[in-house]
Amino acid sequence: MTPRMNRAPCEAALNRLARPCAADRRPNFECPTVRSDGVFRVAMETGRTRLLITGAMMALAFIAVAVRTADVSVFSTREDAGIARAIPSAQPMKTERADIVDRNGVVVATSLQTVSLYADPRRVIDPAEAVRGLVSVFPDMDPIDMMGRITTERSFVWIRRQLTPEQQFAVNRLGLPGFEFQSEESRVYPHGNLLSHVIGFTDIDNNGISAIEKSFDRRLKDDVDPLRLSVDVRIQHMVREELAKATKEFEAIGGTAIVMQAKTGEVLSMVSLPDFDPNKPAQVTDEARFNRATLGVYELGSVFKIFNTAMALEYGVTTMRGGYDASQPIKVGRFQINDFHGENRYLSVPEIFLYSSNIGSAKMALEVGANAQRDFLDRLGLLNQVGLELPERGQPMFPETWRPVNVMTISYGHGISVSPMNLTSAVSATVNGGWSVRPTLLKGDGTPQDARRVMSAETSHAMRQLMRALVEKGTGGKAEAPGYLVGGKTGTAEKLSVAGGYNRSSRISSFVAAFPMQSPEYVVYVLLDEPKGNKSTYGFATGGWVAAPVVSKIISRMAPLVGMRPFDPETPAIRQDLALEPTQAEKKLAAYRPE
Amino acid sequence: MRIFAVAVWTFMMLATSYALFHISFQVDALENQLGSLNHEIRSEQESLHVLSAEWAFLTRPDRLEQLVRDVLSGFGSTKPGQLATFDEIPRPLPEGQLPPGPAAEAANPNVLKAKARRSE
Repeated sequence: MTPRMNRAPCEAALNRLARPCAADRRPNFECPTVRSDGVFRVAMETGRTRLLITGAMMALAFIAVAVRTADVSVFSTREDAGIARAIPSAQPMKTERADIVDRNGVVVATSLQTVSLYADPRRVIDPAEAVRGLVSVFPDMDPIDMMGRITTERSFVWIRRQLTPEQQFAVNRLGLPGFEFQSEESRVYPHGNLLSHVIGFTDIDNNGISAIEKSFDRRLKDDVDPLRLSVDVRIQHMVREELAKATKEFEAIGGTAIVMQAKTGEVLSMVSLPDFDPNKPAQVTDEARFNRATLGVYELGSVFKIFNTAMALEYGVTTMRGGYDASQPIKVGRFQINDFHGENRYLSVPEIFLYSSNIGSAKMALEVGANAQRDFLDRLGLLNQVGLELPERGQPMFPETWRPVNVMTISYGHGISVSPMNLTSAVSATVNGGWSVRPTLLKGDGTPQDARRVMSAETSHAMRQLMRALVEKGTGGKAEAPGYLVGGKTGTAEKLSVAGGYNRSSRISSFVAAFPMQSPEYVVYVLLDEPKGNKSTYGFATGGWVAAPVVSKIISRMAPLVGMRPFDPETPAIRQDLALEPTQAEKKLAAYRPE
Repeated sequence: MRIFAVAVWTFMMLATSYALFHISFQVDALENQLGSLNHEIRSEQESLHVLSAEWAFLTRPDRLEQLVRDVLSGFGSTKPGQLATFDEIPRPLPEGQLPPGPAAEAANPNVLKAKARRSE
């Protein structure tokens, strides 16, 4: 087989292919193929197949890339999206300790960034010059002490914590080697003294060491949400201002005042004087730090007649129409029970309350008996630490064995010491329809916490009538705030003297009130520690003279603030609800002591 | 044909790489912007925090009271008599109606007539 012999078929093939070849304008590679021999053709075929396979594989690879790209970009899921998030994100700011706010959201405690100055003594080049510079910035700094501190072998000593921006600038300008700043958080109380005993304060390392700061230390560190108190700073301010005025006027050594919501137990205000500035914990004296509202326990005197009368009515030993002979003092051993406002006659139950008769109260209590009395006071929470969210809570003091003489003295508030918060919470239970509610410093949803019935609604109603009558025409007249139907009870107790026995000139004078009396919303308690009478009180320093006016001022200032409208006391419904039936004492007196 | 294909592919390659780099740079720029915005948010939050403390300090009830005494003479705390409900505020009369009194009588001839009859 020679090339020549093959020429003819090739020509024919060329003729057949000439047209498409020409039209194609590409160099005709097929013609030589046709002309080539078998071996060459096979090689070409193999090459073509390989090319095809490679192309297909490349195409597959590209398709795979395309599919993956589409998958990533179009159908990407959330988990994949996270990979690209290395940018600082805008998280809500978090402080070491959460803020504390009042019931309306006013900030009362917050944490701010401050800088503190420390030194690395090994890197301090010229200690003498450094001390000279530092003293020029901090004039109160002791140069000798500072010299000692920065010449030690340690690598870290605090120079001064919590600098002001000006001090920081001044220290920076000194350009001292070996001194550095450290950013820290410090607790700030914008209201200063106003809430000192409510909030308390923290130590320099931001650990709560008293009051709310201590009892909610964990909560404030763990949760960023502000802690909302039940206290209203506006009412707190009014109460503190009025109490401070009275403390000054009557030269009292201290005082306390509490405003509580009668139905929920929420404390709207709690003031104890003297107080302190929690921003300057180093200057707090023990005297100022003492919380008279919750930690102090006192013999509170006649305000206890509220519970004594309620108890007698509740146990049914007497009624509002009943009465007792209060004409003679009661002698128990060498001890004698007298009346302060002595009427020396037969007194009806309302009169015993209105004239604050110790003799009548003692007789009432004797009829009830020791166990029942103890049980009743216990139900009102007067024998236990008050359930408030504060570490500073005083344990009430009362006799171990409850003898008849104790029964009698406790009936008018002697021989038993409770904290003012104990008393306020028990009065709330007495006037709110008979429900004991746990006092709280945290704002709730308006429903009381674990309310328990401690007396009947009828007893509570009778007590409201008695308390209203005491302010309307009794010893509590100075507590009246026109339009707000104030009801209350005075209390004056002589303090135990160091020598033993009672001291006639140092008293605890207090007044507890509730308003508006037809359906009490708020209970106000004011206590002055060792007030002295002055000209304006004709020398009296009793609860009705020194504490009742404070109650009146607090109520007439706070009632409009909480949006309470004055009531007309002559409205038939109110008249009927609060009026006492005329007492029957006169008639019985005749029957008792025929003359 | 081949040149055309090569040109198309080259163009597409260039276009894709341009787009790719363009987007990549854009993402970089946006990330920077986001970073600085977040930084700004953070420092704004810090100043808000400081300002809220300062606000609480400046609106202390005792300070406000002192300011009112110094600056707004005649202002004081709310008196019980200054409270009222919306029901107590007189409602506006319907269009065209005059409040009772001489003006209303003058506008209504019937009243005048009635009055005249009564005085007769």
